Amino acid sequence: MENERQMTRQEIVIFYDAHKKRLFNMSLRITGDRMDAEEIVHDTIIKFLKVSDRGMSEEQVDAWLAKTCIRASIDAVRKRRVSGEFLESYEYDVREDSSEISESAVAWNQLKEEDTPSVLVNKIQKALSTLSDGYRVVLSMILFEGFDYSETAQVLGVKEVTVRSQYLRGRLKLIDELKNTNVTDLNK
Amino acid sequence: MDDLRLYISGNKDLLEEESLPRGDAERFLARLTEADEGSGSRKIHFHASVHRRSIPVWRMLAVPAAAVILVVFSMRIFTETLSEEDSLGKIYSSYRVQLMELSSEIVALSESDEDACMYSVVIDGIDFEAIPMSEILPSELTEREKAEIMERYYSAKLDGIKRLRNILAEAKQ
Repeated sequence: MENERQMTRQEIVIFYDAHKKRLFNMSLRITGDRMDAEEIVHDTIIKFLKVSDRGMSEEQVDAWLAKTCIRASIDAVRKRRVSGEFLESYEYDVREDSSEISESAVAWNQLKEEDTPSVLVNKIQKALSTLSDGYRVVLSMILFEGFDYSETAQVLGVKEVTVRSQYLRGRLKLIDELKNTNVTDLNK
Repeated sequence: MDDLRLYISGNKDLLEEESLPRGDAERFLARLTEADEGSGSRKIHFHASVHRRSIPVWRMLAVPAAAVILVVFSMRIFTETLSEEDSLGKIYSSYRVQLMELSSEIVALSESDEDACMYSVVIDGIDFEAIPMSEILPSELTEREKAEIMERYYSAKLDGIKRLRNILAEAKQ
């Protein structure tokens, strides 16, 4: 078994610099707050330094940091809410509103034609920050962190069908926000 | 997977990632030091709504002015850890580590979070580089000449911050 070795100060600084930006943006997408996100990055890395298994591969380290950062970010959002719940409990049935879905699909195709990918991806990230906590958390986890419905439900401690309906409803709002942003830009 | 997810998944490398607020590394090291000492975290609040006690004007101006003057006129070569054989990257890394350690000491010597904020601004000012020194050194210079210039340059910055630390330490005695 490989002996544990404490990192030197210099190694800690290098490790921090290597991971901070990715974790910061991960947390910022979920919390929507720069100071909270920074604090969570610091807590995550300090926790890693204290508890992690030094024999981890680079991929395992990345995964550990991401998971810990995401959980801490979700906890931070929860703490801000008086009720402690930030996902709507009702299960919105998107099938009931097919016209809204069609309009959204048309709007999305138009957005892809109007902007280059680099512009659109960053507009999506900005639009995400304007959504309410529940939609923002679910969309961040699924769109940007690559979680599926089941994994997201497990992390959030809710039913998978709740995540699905939050995602579908959130996606409609996101595309609506993007559409309105483009209209505003055209009118400038 | 729906089209939106596919689109983002396929273009993630285009995402512009935001940087952390300035001074993040110093704050990290300060918290790490506190965590190591088991004294619990002391949060440094930067929000405008935090009530700030009145700081005398002379004190607000004296410390930053002294630190800047010391850096400008101090060109002593700091040779504790920097050797001539270090590459430019190692020189910079060594500087960063020493800067962060000094920053942690200064935070620990601060009488309040507001003072710590003020000193962080001073340290940021001394540390700031619009363009890193390593990128503006003329390519005609040898590696050794570049290393010498970098050592002097970063040593001067560290000297200024050390003087600030020493002033605070003496004031506490």
